[in-house]
Amino acid sequence: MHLSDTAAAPGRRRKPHLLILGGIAVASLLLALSIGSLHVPLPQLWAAIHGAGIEPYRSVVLELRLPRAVAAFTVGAMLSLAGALMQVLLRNPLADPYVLGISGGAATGALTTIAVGLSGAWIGGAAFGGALLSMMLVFGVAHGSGSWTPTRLLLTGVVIAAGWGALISFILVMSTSRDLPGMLFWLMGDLSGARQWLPQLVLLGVALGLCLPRARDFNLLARGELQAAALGVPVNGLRTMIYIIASLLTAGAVTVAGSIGFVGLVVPHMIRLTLGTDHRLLLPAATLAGGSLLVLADTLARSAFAPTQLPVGVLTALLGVPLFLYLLRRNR
Amino acid sequence: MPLLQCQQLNVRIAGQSVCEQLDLSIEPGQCWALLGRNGVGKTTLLHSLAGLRPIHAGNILLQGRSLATWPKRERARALGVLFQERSSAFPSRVLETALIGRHPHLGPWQAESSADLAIARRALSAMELSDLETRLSDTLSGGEQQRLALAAVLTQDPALLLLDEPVNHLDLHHQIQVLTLLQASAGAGKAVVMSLHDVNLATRFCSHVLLLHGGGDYECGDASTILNSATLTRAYGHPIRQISHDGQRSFLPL
Repeated sequence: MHLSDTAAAPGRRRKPHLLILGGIAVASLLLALSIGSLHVPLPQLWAAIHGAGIEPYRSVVLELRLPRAVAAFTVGAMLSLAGALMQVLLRNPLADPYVLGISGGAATGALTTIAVGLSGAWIGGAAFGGALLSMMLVFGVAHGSGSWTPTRLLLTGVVIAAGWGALISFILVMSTSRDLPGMLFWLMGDLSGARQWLPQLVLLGVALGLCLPRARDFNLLARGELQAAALGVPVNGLRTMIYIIASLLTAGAVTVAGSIGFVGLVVPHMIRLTLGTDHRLLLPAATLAGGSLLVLADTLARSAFAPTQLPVGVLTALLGVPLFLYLLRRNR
Repeated sequence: MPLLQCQQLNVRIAGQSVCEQLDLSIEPGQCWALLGRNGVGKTTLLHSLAGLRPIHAGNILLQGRSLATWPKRERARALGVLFQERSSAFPSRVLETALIGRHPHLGPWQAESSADLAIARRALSAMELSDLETRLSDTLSGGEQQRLALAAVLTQDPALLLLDEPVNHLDLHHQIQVLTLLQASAGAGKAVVMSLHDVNLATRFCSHVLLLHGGGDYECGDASTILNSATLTRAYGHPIRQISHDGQRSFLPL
Protein backbone atom coordinates (compact mmCIF):
# COMPACT_ATOMS: atom_id res chain seq x y z
CA MET A 1 0.00 0.00 0.00
CA HIS A 2 1.13 3.54 -0.56
CA LEU A 3 1.44 4.15 3.19
CA SER A 4 4.65 2.17 3.36
CA ASP A 5 6.06 4.03 0.35
CA THR A 6 5.72 7.37 2.11
CA ALA A 7 7.52 5.94 5.09
CA ALA A 8 10.23 4.28 3.06
CA ALA A 9 11.17 7.44 1.20
CA PRO A 10 9.93 10.53 3.04
CA GLY A 11 9.88 13.51 0.77
CA ARG A 12 9.93 11.52 -2.44
CA ARG A 13 6.21 10.97 -2.71
CA ARG A 14 4.82 14.39 -1.96
CA LYS A 15 4.37 15.88 -5.43
CA PRO A 16 2.13 13.17 -6.98
CA HIS A 17 -0.22 13.30 -3.99
CA LEU A 18 -0.45 17.08 -4.12
CA LEU A 19 -1.02 17.03 -7.88
CA ILE A 20 -3.90 14.59 -7.45
CA LEU A 21 -5.43 16.72 -4.70
CA GLY A 22 -4.95 19.82 -6.83
CA GLY A 23 -6.77 18.05 -9.65
CA ILE A 24 -9.63 17.18 -7.30
CA ALA A 25 -9.77 20.82 -6.19
CA VAL A 26 -10.04 22.09 -9.78
CA ALA A 27 -12.65 19.43 -10.63
CA SER A 28 -14.75 20.35 -7.58
CA LEU A 29 -14.64 24.03 -8.55
CA LEU A 30 -15.72 23.25 -12.14
CA LEU A 31 -18.53 21.08 -10.82
CA ALA A 32 -19.68 23.91 -8.55
CA LEU A 33 -19.75 26.32 -11.53
CA SER A 34 -21.70 23.92 -13.69
CA ILE A 35 -24.32 22.43 -11.33
CA GLY A 36 -27.39 24.26 -10.05
CA SER A 37 -30.88 25.36 -11.00
CA LEU A 38 -29.41 26.29 -14.38
CA HIS A 39 -27.16 23.56 -15.71
CA VAL A 40 -24.18 25.03 -17.52
CA PRO A 41 -22.75 22.61 -20.11
CA LEU A 42 -18.99 22.26 -20.30
CA PRO A 43 -18.46 24.23 -23.55
CA GLN A 44 -20.46 27.16 -22.15
CA LEU A 45 -18.56 26.92 -18.87
CA TRP A 46 -15.27 27.02 -20.72
CA ALA A 47 -16.39 30.01 -22.78
CA ALA A 48 -17.66 31.87 -19.71
CA ILE A 49 -14.39 31.41 -17.85
CA HIS A 50 -12.58 32.84 -20.85
CA GLY A 51 -14.93 35.82 -20.90
CA ALA A 52 -16.61 34.83 -24.15
CA GLY A 53 -19.77 33.17 -22.89
CA ILE A 54 -23.36 33.95 -23.82
CA GLU A 55 -26.08 35.00 -21.39
CA PRO A 56 -27.45 33.76 -19.09
CA TYR A 57 -24.53 31.34 -18.67
CA ARG A 58 -21.91 34.05 -18.42
CA SER A 59 -23.46 35.95 -15.52
CA VAL A 60 -24.58 32.81 -13.68
CA VAL A 61 -21.05 31.40 -13.78
CA LEU A 62 -19.02 34.54 -13.23
CA GLU A 63 -21.26 36.63 -11.01
CA LEU A 64 -23.23 34.10 -8.98
CA ARG A 65 -21.36 30.82 -8.77
CA LEU A 66 -17.69 31.74 -9.07
CA PRO A 67 -17.49 34.07 -6.03
CA ARG A 68 -19.42 31.58 -3.93
CA ALA A 69 -17.29 28.62 -5.06
CA VAL A 70 -14.04 30.48 -4.43
CA ALA A 71 -15.33 31.62 -1.03
CA ALA A 72 -16.30 28.02 -0.21
CA PHE A 73 -12.89 26.71 -1.26
CA THR A 74 -11.06 29.38 0.73
CA VAL A 75 -13.15 28.85 3.87
CA GLY A 76 -12.77 25.06 3.69
CA ALA A 77 -9.04 25.37 3.15
CA MET A 78 -8.66 27.81 6.06
CA LEU A 79 -10.67 25.65 8.47
CA SER A 80 -8.81 22.52 7.50
CA LEU A 81 -5.39 24.15 7.83
CA ALA A 82 -6.42 25.75 11.13
CA GLY A 83 -7.59 22.36 12.40
CA ALA A 84 -4.30 20.69 11.50
CA LEU A 85 -2.44 23.52 13.29
CA MET A 86 -4.63 23.34 16.42
CA GLN A 87 -4.15 19.58 16.60
CA VAL A 88 -0.38 19.91 16.60
CA LEU A 89 -0.43 22.94 18.95
CA LEU A 90 -2.59 21.17 21.53
CA ARG A 91 -1.10 17.74 20.71
CA ASN A 92 -4.65 16.49 20.76
CA PRO A 93 -6.40 14.67 17.92
CA LEU A 94 -9.78 15.98 19.09
CA ALA A 95 -8.79 19.62 18.66
CA ASP A 96 -10.53 21.61 15.94
CA PRO A 97 -10.45 25.29 14.93
CA TYR A 98 -13.29 26.06 17.33
CA VAL A 99 -12.05 24.25 20.42
CA LEU A 100 -10.41 27.35 21.90
CA GLY A 101 -13.52 29.50 21.68
CA ILE A 102 -12.78 31.46 18.50
CA SER A 103 -16.08 30.54 16.88
CA GLY A 104 -17.93 31.21 20.14
CA GLY A 105 -16.56 34.73 20.26
CA ALA A 106 -17.40 35.22 16.59
CA ALA A 107 -20.91 33.84 17.02
CA THR A 108 -21.58 36.06 20.01
CA GLY A 109 -20.53 39.07 17.96
CA ALA A 110 -22.55 38.05 14.91
CA LEU A 111 -25.71 37.14 16.84
CA THR A 112 -25.58 40.36 18.83
CA THR A 113 -25.54 42.40 15.62
CA ILE A 114 -28.43 40.33 14.21
CA ALA A 115 -30.36 40.82 17.44
CA VAL A 116 -29.99 44.59 17.36
CA GLY A 117 -31.18 44.61 13.75
CA LEU A 118 -27.98 45.25 11.85
CA SER A 119 -27.07 43.24 8.78
CA GLY A 120 -24.58 42.82 5.96
CA ALA A 121 -21.00 43.84 6.66
CA TRP A 122 -21.85 44.57 10.31
CA ILE A 123 -22.34 40.87 10.99
CA GLY A 124 -19.00 39.88 9.46
CA GLY A 125 -17.19 42.73 11.21
CA ALA A 126 -18.68 41.86 14.59
CA ALA A 127 -17.87 38.17 14.06
CA PHE A 128 -14.24 38.99 13.28
CA GLY A 129 -14.06 41.32 16.29
CA GLY A 130 -15.55 38.67 18.58
CA ALA A 131 -13.09 36.08 17.28
CA LEU A 132 -10.11 38.38 17.90
CA LEU A 133 -11.38 39.25 21.38
CA SER A 134 -11.72 35.56 22.24
CA MET A 135 -8.29 34.81 20.82
CA MET A 136 -6.63 37.50 22.96
CA LEU A 137 -8.62 36.53 26.03
CA VAL A 138 -7.56 32.86 25.81
CA PHE A 139 -3.96 33.75 25.03
CA GLY A 140 -3.79 36.29 27.87
CA VAL A 141 -5.29 33.98 30.48
CA ALA A 142 -3.40 30.85 29.41
CA HIS A 143 -0.09 32.62 28.92
CA GLY A 144 -0.47 34.86 31.99
CA SER A 145 1.98 33.12 34.30
CA GLY A 146 4.49 32.50 31.52
CA SER A 147 4.03 28.75 31.32
CA TRP A 148 1.56 27.54 28.78
CA THR A 149 1.37 23.83 28.45
CA PRO A 150 -1.00 22.40 25.84
CA THR A 151 -3.29 21.24 28.66
CA ARG A 152 -3.50 24.69 30.22
CA LEU A 153 -4.21 26.30 26.86
CA LEU A 154 -6.85 23.68 26.06
CA LEU A 155 -8.60 24.05 29.42
CA THR A 156 -8.59 27.85 29.17
CA GLY A 157 -9.99 27.69 25.65
CA VAL A 158 -12.66 25.14 26.52
CA VAL A 159 -13.82 27.18 29.53
CA ILE A 160 -13.98 30.42 27.54
CA ALA A 161 -15.79 28.58 24.73
CA ALA A 162 -18.33 27.39 27.31
CA GLY A 163 -18.78 30.99 28.43
CA TRP A 164 -19.49 32.07 24.85
CA GLY A 165 -21.90 29.14 24.55
CA ALA A 166 -23.90 30.46 27.50
CA LEU A 167 -24.03 33.94 25.96
CA ILE A 168 -25.17 32.48 22.62
CA SER A 169 -27.98 30.54 24.32
CA PHE A 170 -29.00 33.73 26.13
CA ILE A 171 -29.14 35.70 22.87
CA LEU A 172 -31.13 32.92 21.14
CA VAL A 173 -33.69 32.73 23.94
CA MET A 174 -34.14 36.49 24.06
CA SER A 175 -34.38 37.04 20.31
CA THR A 176 -37.53 37.40 18.23
CA SER A 177 -38.80 34.67 15.93
CA ARG A 178 -37.99 36.97 13.00
CA ASP A 179 -34.25 36.87 13.79
CA LEU A 180 -33.98 33.19 14.76
CA PRO A 181 -33.62 31.56 11.30
CA GLY A 182 -30.77 33.90 10.38
CA MET A 183 -29.06 33.18 13.69
CA LEU A 184 -29.42 29.41 13.32
CA PHE A 185 -28.09 29.51 9.75
CA TRP A 186 -25.11 31.50 11.00
CA LEU A 187 -24.48 29.01 13.81
CA MET A 188 -24.68 26.00 11.48
CA GLY A 189 -22.47 27.60 8.88
CA ASP A 190 -23.83 28.98 5.65
CA LEU A 191 -22.23 30.17 2.45
CA SER A 192 -25.29 31.61 0.71
CA GLY A 193 -24.25 35.16 1.56
CA ALA A 194 -20.55 34.57 1.05
CA ARG A 195 -19.17 36.97 -1.51
CA GLN A 196 -15.99 38.11 0.16
CA TRP A 197 -12.94 35.96 -0.42
CA LEU A 198 -9.93 38.07 -1.42
CA PRO A 199 -8.75 39.00 2.11
CA GLN A 200 -9.30 35.40 3.17
CA LEU A 201 -7.32 34.06 0.23
CA VAL A 202 -4.45 36.42 1.05
CA LEU A 203 -4.54 35.33 4.70
CA LEU A 204 -4.50 31.68 3.62
CA GLY A 205 -1.52 32.33 1.35
CA VAL A 206 0.42 34.13 4.10
CA ALA A 207 -0.39 31.33 6.57
CA LEU A 208 0.86 28.64 4.18
CA GLY A 209 3.94 30.72 3.40
CA LEU A 210 4.77 30.93 7.10
CA CYS A 211 3.92 27.32 7.97
CA LEU A 212 5.37 25.29 5.11
CA PRO A 213 9.04 26.17 5.76
CA ARG A 214 8.48 25.13 9.39
CA ALA A 215 6.54 21.95 8.63
CA ARG A 216 9.35 19.70 9.86
CA ASP A 217 9.39 21.66 13.13
CA PHE A 218 5.69 20.84 13.47
CA ASN A 219 6.48 17.13 13.12
CA LEU A 220 8.77 17.43 16.12
CA LEU A 221 6.36 19.56 18.15
CA ALA A 222 3.80 16.75 17.78
CA ARG A 223 6.34 14.51 19.53
CA GLY A 224 6.47 16.75 22.57
CA GLU A 225 7.96 20.08 23.54
CA LEU A 226 11.10 18.69 25.17
CA GLN A 227 11.90 16.40 22.26
CA ALA A 228 11.37 19.28 19.84
CA ALA A 229 13.54 21.64 21.90
CA ALA A 230 16.29 19.02 22.10
CA LEU A 231 16.36 18.85 18.30
CA GLY A 232 16.72 22.62 17.92
CA VAL A 233 13.10 23.76 17.49
CA PRO A 234 12.38 27.21 19.01
CA VAL A 235 9.35 25.80 20.82
CA ASN A 236 7.84 28.90 22.47
CA GLY A 237 8.08 31.09 19.41
CA LEU A 238 6.73 28.36 17.18
CA ARG A 239 3.74 27.69 19.43
CA THR A 240 2.86 31.40 19.62
CA MET A 241 3.08 31.58 15.84
CA ILE A 242 0.84 28.53 15.38
CA TYR A 243 -1.71 29.92 17.84
CA ILE A 244 -1.91 33.29 16.09
CA ILE A 245 -2.06 31.83 12.57
CA ALA A 246 -4.66 29.18 13.43
CA SER A 247 -6.79 31.75 15.26
CA LEU A 248 -6.67 34.28 12.43
CA LEU A 249 -7.52 31.59 9.86
CA THR A 250 -10.50 30.53 11.95
CA ALA A 251 -11.60 34.12 12.50
CA GLY A 252 -11.37 34.79 8.75
CA ALA A 253 -13.37 31.68 7.93
CA VAL A 254 -16.22 32.22 10.42
CA THR A 255 -16.48 35.85 9.32
CA VAL A 256 -17.42 34.73 5.82
CA ALA A 257 -19.45 31.62 6.51
CA GLY A 258 -20.35 31.23 10.17
CA SER A 259 -19.16 28.23 12.13
CA ILE A 260 -19.11 25.39 9.62
CA GLY A 261 -18.36 22.28 11.61
CA PHE A 262 -16.53 19.08 10.81
CA VAL A 263 -14.11 20.28 8.10
CA GLY A 264 -11.44 21.48 10.53
CA LEU A 265 -11.64 18.41 12.74
CA VAL A 266 -11.89 15.62 10.21
CA VAL A 267 -10.07 16.65 7.04
CA PRO A 268 -6.62 16.67 8.75
CA HIS A 269 -7.37 13.20 10.12
CA MET A 270 -8.45 11.97 6.69
CA ILE A 271 -5.09 13.11 5.32
CA ARG A 272 -3.21 11.51 8.23
CA LEU A 273 -5.00 8.21 7.64
CA THR A 274 -4.26 8.18 3.92
CA LEU A 275 -0.98 10.07 3.48
CA GLY A 276 0.70 9.90 6.88
CA THR A 277 1.55 12.40 9.60
CA ASP A 278 4.40 14.36 7.95
CA HIS A 279 3.28 18.00 8.09
CA ARG A 280 5.24 18.81 4.92
CA LEU A 281 2.59 16.82 3.09
CA LEU A 282 -0.23 17.09 5.62
CA LEU A 283 -0.51 20.90 5.65
CA PRO A 284 -0.79 21.51 1.89
CA ALA A 285 -2.84 18.33 1.39
CA ALA A 286 -5.32 19.24 4.14
CA THR A 287 -5.61 22.74 2.68
CA LEU A 288 -6.52 21.39 -0.77
CA ALA A 289 -8.79 18.63 0.54
CA GLY A 290 -10.63 20.94 2.97
CA GLY A 291 -11.29 23.44 0.20
CA SER A 292 -12.53 20.74 -2.18
CA LEU A 293 -14.79 19.14 0.44
CA LEU A 294 -16.47 22.44 1.26
CA VAL A 295 -16.98 23.33 -2.42
CA LEU A 296 -18.65 19.96 -3.02
CA ALA A 297 -20.72 20.22 0.15
CA ASP A 298 -21.88 23.72 -0.74
CA THR A 299 -22.79 22.68 -4.28
CA LEU A 300 -24.93 19.90 -2.85
CA ALA A 301 -26.36 22.21 -0.19
CA ARG A 302 -27.73 24.63 -2.77
CA SER A 303 -28.80 22.10 -5.43
CA ALA A 304 -29.95 18.91 -3.66
CA PHE A 305 -33.24 20.30 -2.34
CA ALA A 306 -33.48 23.33 -4.62
CA PRO A 307 -35.02 25.82 -4.31
CA THR A 308 -34.53 25.19 -0.55
CA GLN A 309 -30.92 25.86 0.44
CA LEU A 310 -29.53 23.77 3.27
CA PRO A 311 -26.89 25.16 5.64
CA VAL A 312 -23.60 23.80 4.30
CA GLY A 313 -22.57 22.63 7.79
CA VAL A 314 -25.23 19.91 7.55
CA LEU A 315 -23.72 18.67 4.29
CA THR A 316 -20.07 18.69 5.44
CA ALA A 317 -21.03 16.28 8.20
CA LEU A 318 -23.23 14.13 5.95
CA LEU A 319 -20.41 13.81 3.39
CA GLY A 320 -17.58 13.58 5.87
CA VAL A 321 -18.86 11.15 8.49
CA PRO A 322 -19.16 8.07 6.22
CA LEU A 323 -15.91 8.92 4.41
CA PHE A 324 -14.06 9.26 7.70
CA LEU A 325 -15.51 6.06 9.16
CA TYR A 326 -14.50 4.20 6.01
CA LEU A 327 -10.91 5.46 6.26
CA LEU A 328 -10.75 4.64 9.96
CA ARG A 329 -11.95 1.12 9.28
CA ARG A 330 -9.60 0.56 6.36
CA ASN A 331 -6.59 1.52 8.48
CA ARG A 332 -7.32 -0.64 11.45
CA MET B 1 39.02 20.95 25.06
CA PRO B 2 36.27 19.40 27.20
CA LEU B 3 32.98 18.76 25.42
CA LEU B 4 31.01 19.86 28.44
CA GLN B 5 32.04 21.77 31.55
CA CYS B 6 30.07 22.68 34.66
CA GLN B 7 31.44 25.49 36.79
CA GLN B 8 29.98 25.96 40.27
CA LEU B 9 26.66 24.72 38.94
CA ASN B 10 23.59 24.86 41.17
CA VAL B 11 20.47 23.09 39.98
CA ARG B 12 17.24 23.08 41.98
CA ILE B 13 13.80 21.75 41.35
CA ALA B 14 10.68 22.47 43.42
CA GLY B 15 12.80 23.91 46.24
CA GLN B 16 15.03 20.82 46.38
CA SER B 17 18.69 21.02 45.59
CA VAL B 18 19.95 18.58 42.94
CA CYS B 19 23.58 19.70 42.98
CA GLU B 20 25.44 22.57 44.67
CA GLN B 21 28.64 24.00 43.23
CA LEU B 22 29.11 21.15 40.80
CA ASP B 23 32.43 21.28 38.98
CA LEU B 24 32.62 18.75 36.20
CA SER B 25 34.57 18.35 33.00
CA ILE B 26 33.53 15.83 30.38
CA GLU B 27 36.17 15.02 27.76
CA PRO B 28 35.84 13.21 24.45
CA GLY B 29 36.29 9.47 24.96
CA GLN B 30 34.67 9.44 28.39
CA CYS B 31 31.60 7.46 29.34
CA TRP B 32 29.85 8.83 32.44
CA ALA B 33 27.30 7.11 34.62
CA LEU B 34 24.88 9.33 36.52
CA LEU B 35 23.80 7.43 39.61
CA GLY B 36 21.57 8.11 42.58
CA ARG B 37 18.30 7.28 44.32
CA ASN B 38 14.86 7.78 42.78
CA GLY B 39 13.94 11.45 42.85
CA VAL B 40 17.46 12.66 43.54
CA GLY B 41 17.38 14.73 40.34
CA LYS B 42 19.15 12.72 37.65
CA THR B 43 16.65 13.65 34.94
CA THR B 44 16.55 17.27 36.09
CA LEU B 45 20.34 17.49 35.94
CA LEU B 46 20.48 15.89 32.47
CA HIS B 47 17.86 18.35 31.19
CA SER B 48 19.84 21.24 32.70
CA LEU B 49 23.04 19.99 31.05
CA ALA B 50 21.11 19.88 27.76
CA GLY B 51 19.99 23.49 28.19
CA LEU B 52 16.34 22.49 28.39
CA ARG B 53 15.66 23.98 31.81
CA PRO B 54 17.05 27.03 33.61
CA ILE B 55 19.95 26.63 36.03
CA HIS B 56 20.06 28.32 39.42
CA ALA B 57 23.67 29.47 39.44
CA GLY B 58 27.00 28.76 37.78
CA ASN B 59 27.96 28.05 34.19
CA ILE B 60 27.60 25.28 31.68
CA LEU B 61 30.04 25.39 28.76
CA LEU B 62 29.51 23.29 25.65
CA GLN B 63 32.78 22.97 23.73
CA GLY B 64 34.13 25.96 25.67
CA ARG B 65 31.19 28.23 24.85
CA SER B 66 28.36 29.12 27.20
CA LEU B 67 25.46 26.74 26.55
CA ALA B 68 22.86 29.52 26.60
CA THR B 69 24.56 31.41 23.77
CA TRP B 70 24.44 28.49 21.31
CA PRO B 71 21.90 28.86 18.50
CA LYS B 72 19.34 26.08 19.05
CA ARG B 73 19.91 24.17 15.83
CA GLU B 74 23.67 24.33 16.13
CA ARG B 75 23.42 23.12 19.72
CA ALA B 76 21.30 20.18 18.56
CA ARG B 77 24.10 19.15 16.21
CA ALA B 78 26.59 19.11 19.11
CA LEU B 79 24.41 17.63 21.84
CA GLY B 80 21.73 14.94 21.73
CA VAL B 81 19.25 13.91 24.41
CA LEU B 82 17.43 10.64 25.02
CA PHE B 83 14.30 11.23 27.08
CA GLN B 84 12.90 8.81 29.58
CA GLU B 85 9.35 9.57 28.57
CA ARG B 86 8.06 9.88 25.05
CA SER B 87 4.58 10.56 23.79
CA SER B 88 3.72 11.33 20.22
CA ALA B 89 0.36 12.90 19.52
CA PHE B 90 0.09 11.01 16.24
CA PRO B 91 1.64 7.65 15.30
CA SER B 92 4.42 7.63 12.73
CA ARG B 93 6.57 5.05 10.98
CA VAL B 94 9.80 3.69 12.47
CA LEU B 95 12.03 5.13 9.73
CA GLU B 96 10.35 8.55 9.99
CA THR B 97 10.94 8.49 13.74
CA ALA B 98 14.64 7.70 13.35
CA LEU B 99 14.93 10.47 10.74
CA ILE B 100 13.91 13.17 13.26
CA GLY B 101 17.56 13.01 14.30
CA ARG B 102 18.51 14.66 10.99
CA HIS B 103 16.32 17.70 11.72
CA PRO B 104 19.10 19.97 13.06
CA HIS B 105 21.25 19.06 10.05
CA LEU B 106 18.66 20.22 7.49
CA GLY B 107 17.56 23.68 6.35
CA PRO B 108 13.90 24.78 6.31
CA TRP B 109 13.09 23.69 2.74
CA GLN B 110 15.62 20.87 2.63
CA ALA B 111 14.30 17.31 2.44
CA GLU B 112 16.18 14.32 3.80
CA SER B 113 18.78 13.21 1.26
CA SER B 114 19.74 9.63 0.51
CA ALA B 115 22.76 10.23 2.74
CA ASP B 116 20.42 11.13 5.62
CA LEU B 117 18.37 8.01 4.91
CA ALA B 118 21.53 5.93 4.95
CA ILE B 119 22.52 7.37 8.35
CA ALA B 120 19.07 6.59 9.79
CA ARG B 121 19.11 3.07 8.35
CA ARG B 122 22.58 2.47 9.84
CA ALA B 123 21.28 3.53 13.25
CA LEU B 124 18.20 1.32 12.93
CA SER B 125 20.42 -1.56 11.92
CA ALA B 126 22.70 -0.95 14.92
CA MET B 127 19.60 -1.11 17.12
CA GLU B 128 18.42 -4.29 15.33
CA LEU B 129 15.28 -2.56 14.03
CA SER B 130 15.90 -2.82 10.27
CA ASP B 131 13.02 -5.23 9.75
CA LEU B 132 10.54 -2.86 11.39
CA GLU B 133 11.24 0.20 9.20
CA THR B 134 7.66 0.60 7.94
CA ARG B 135 5.88 -0.32 11.17
CA LEU B 136 3.91 2.31 13.06
CA SER B 137 5.90 3.18 16.16
CA ASP B 138 2.90 2.71 18.48
CA THR B 139 2.76 -0.96 17.50
CA LEU B 140 6.28 -1.60 18.87
CA SER B 141 7.01 -3.15 22.25
CA GLY B 142 8.44 -1.03 25.07
CA GLY B 143 11.96 -2.29 24.44
CA GLU B 144 11.67 -1.74 20.69
CA GLN B 145 10.42 1.81 21.27
CA GLN B 146 13.38 2.44 23.56
CA ARG B 147 15.79 1.20 20.88
CA LEU B 148 13.99 3.34 18.30
CA ALA B 149 14.50 6.43 20.47
CA LEU B 150 18.18 5.48 20.77
CA ALA B 151 18.35 5.07 16.99
CA ALA B 152 16.98 8.61 16.59
CA VAL B 153 19.74 10.00 18.86
CA LEU B 154 22.36 8.00 16.96
CA THR B 155 20.94 9.42 13.69
CA GLN B 156 21.34 12.89 15.20
CA ASP B 157 25.04 12.02 15.56
CA PRO B 158 26.06 14.62 18.17
CA ALA B 159 29.48 14.71 19.87
CA LEU B 160 27.87 14.62 23.31
CA LEU B 161 25.10 12.16 24.19
CA LEU B 162 22.97 12.83 27.28
CA LEU B 163 20.91 9.70 27.85
CA ASP B 164 18.22 9.31 30.50
CA GLU B 165 18.08 5.60 31.39
CA PRO B 166 19.11 4.24 27.99
CA VAL B 167 18.65 0.61 29.05
CA ASN B 168 15.10 1.10 30.34
CA HIS B 169 12.79 -1.71 29.12
CA LEU B 170 15.68 -3.52 27.38
CA ASP B 171 16.24 -7.26 27.75
CA LEU B 172 19.65 -8.49 28.92
CA HIS B 173 21.02 -8.99 25.41
CA HIS B 174 20.01 -5.51 24.29
CA GLN B 175 21.28 -3.90 27.51
CA ILE B 176 24.75 -5.25 26.85
CA GLN B 177 24.52 -4.57 23.12
CA VAL B 178 23.45 -0.92 23.59
CA LEU B 179 26.04 -0.20 26.28
CA THR B 180 28.80 -1.85 24.23
CA LEU B 181 27.85 0.38 21.31
CA LEU B 182 27.79 3.52 23.50
CA GLN B 183 31.15 2.60 25.01
CA ALA B 184 32.54 2.15 21.50
CA SER B 185 31.19 5.51 20.32
CA ALA B 186 32.89 7.14 23.32
CA GLY B 187 36.03 5.28 22.27
CA ALA B 188 35.64 6.88 18.83
CA GLY B 189 35.83 10.40 20.28
CA LYS B 190 32.30 11.15 21.49
CA ALA B 191 31.27 11.53 25.11
CA VAL B 192 28.34 9.82 26.81
CA VAL B 193 26.55 10.81 30.00
CA MET B 194 23.81 8.41 31.05
CA SER B 195 21.67 7.86 34.08
CA LEU B 196 21.57 4.21 35.09
CA HIS B 197 19.96 2.19 37.85
CA ASP B 198 22.18 -0.86 37.51
CA VAL B 199 25.43 -0.18 39.37
CA ASN B 200 27.04 -3.26 37.85
CA LEU B 201 26.41 -2.06 34.29
CA ALA B 202 27.95 1.28 35.30
CA THR B 203 30.97 -0.56 36.74
CA ARG B 204 31.41 -2.56 33.57
CA PHE B 205 30.84 0.09 30.90
CA CYS B 206 31.56 3.54 32.36
CA SER B 207 34.91 5.22 32.79
CA HIS B 208 33.53 7.95 35.09
CA VAL B 209 30.75 8.36 37.61
CA LEU B 210 28.72 11.26 38.95
CA LEU B 211 26.99 10.10 42.11
CA LEU B 212 24.18 12.28 43.46
CA HIS B 213 23.57 11.93 47.20
CA GLY B 214 20.61 14.29 47.46
CA GLY B 215 20.43 17.71 49.06
CA GLY B 216 22.97 19.01 46.56
CA ASP B 217 25.74 16.69 47.71
CA TYR B 218 27.65 14.78 45.04
CA GLU B 219 30.82 12.82 44.28
CA CYS B 220 32.40 12.54 40.87
CA GLY B 221 35.49 11.14 39.20
CA ASP B 222 36.97 7.87 37.96
CA ALA B 223 34.57 4.96 38.17
CA SER B 224 37.23 2.85 39.90
CA THR B 225 37.56 5.27 42.83
CA ILE B 226 33.97 6.50 43.18
CA LEU B 227 32.31 3.11 43.02
CA ASN B 228 32.80 1.28 46.30
CA SER B 229 30.57 -0.24 48.91
CA ALA B 230 30.82 2.80 51.22
CA THR B 231 29.82 5.48 48.65
CA LEU B 232 27.10 3.31 47.15
CA THR B 233 25.69 2.36 50.56
CA ARG B 234 25.45 6.06 51.35
CA ALA B 235 24.01 7.03 47.96
CA TYR B 236 21.25 4.45 47.95
CA GLY B 237 20.61 4.40 51.71
CA HIS B 238 20.88 0.63 51.56
CA PRO B 239 23.76 -1.68 52.60
CA ILE B 240 25.72 -2.74 49.51
CA ARG B 241 28.58 -5.24 49.48
CA GLN B 242 31.36 -5.42 46.91
CA ILE B 243 32.36 -8.82 45.61
CA SER B 244 35.13 -9.67 43.13
CA HIS B 245 35.12 -12.47 40.63
CA ASP B 246 37.87 -13.03 38.02
CA GLY B 247 39.07 -9.48 38.60
CA GLN B 248 35.61 -8.02 37.84
CA ARG B 249 33.97 -6.05 40.66
CA SER B 250 30.27 -6.45 41.36
CA PHE B 251 27.97 -4.86 43.91
CA LEU B 252 25.31 -6.76 45.75
CA PRO B 253 22.49 -5.13 47.72
CA LEU B 254 22.04 -6.94 51.02
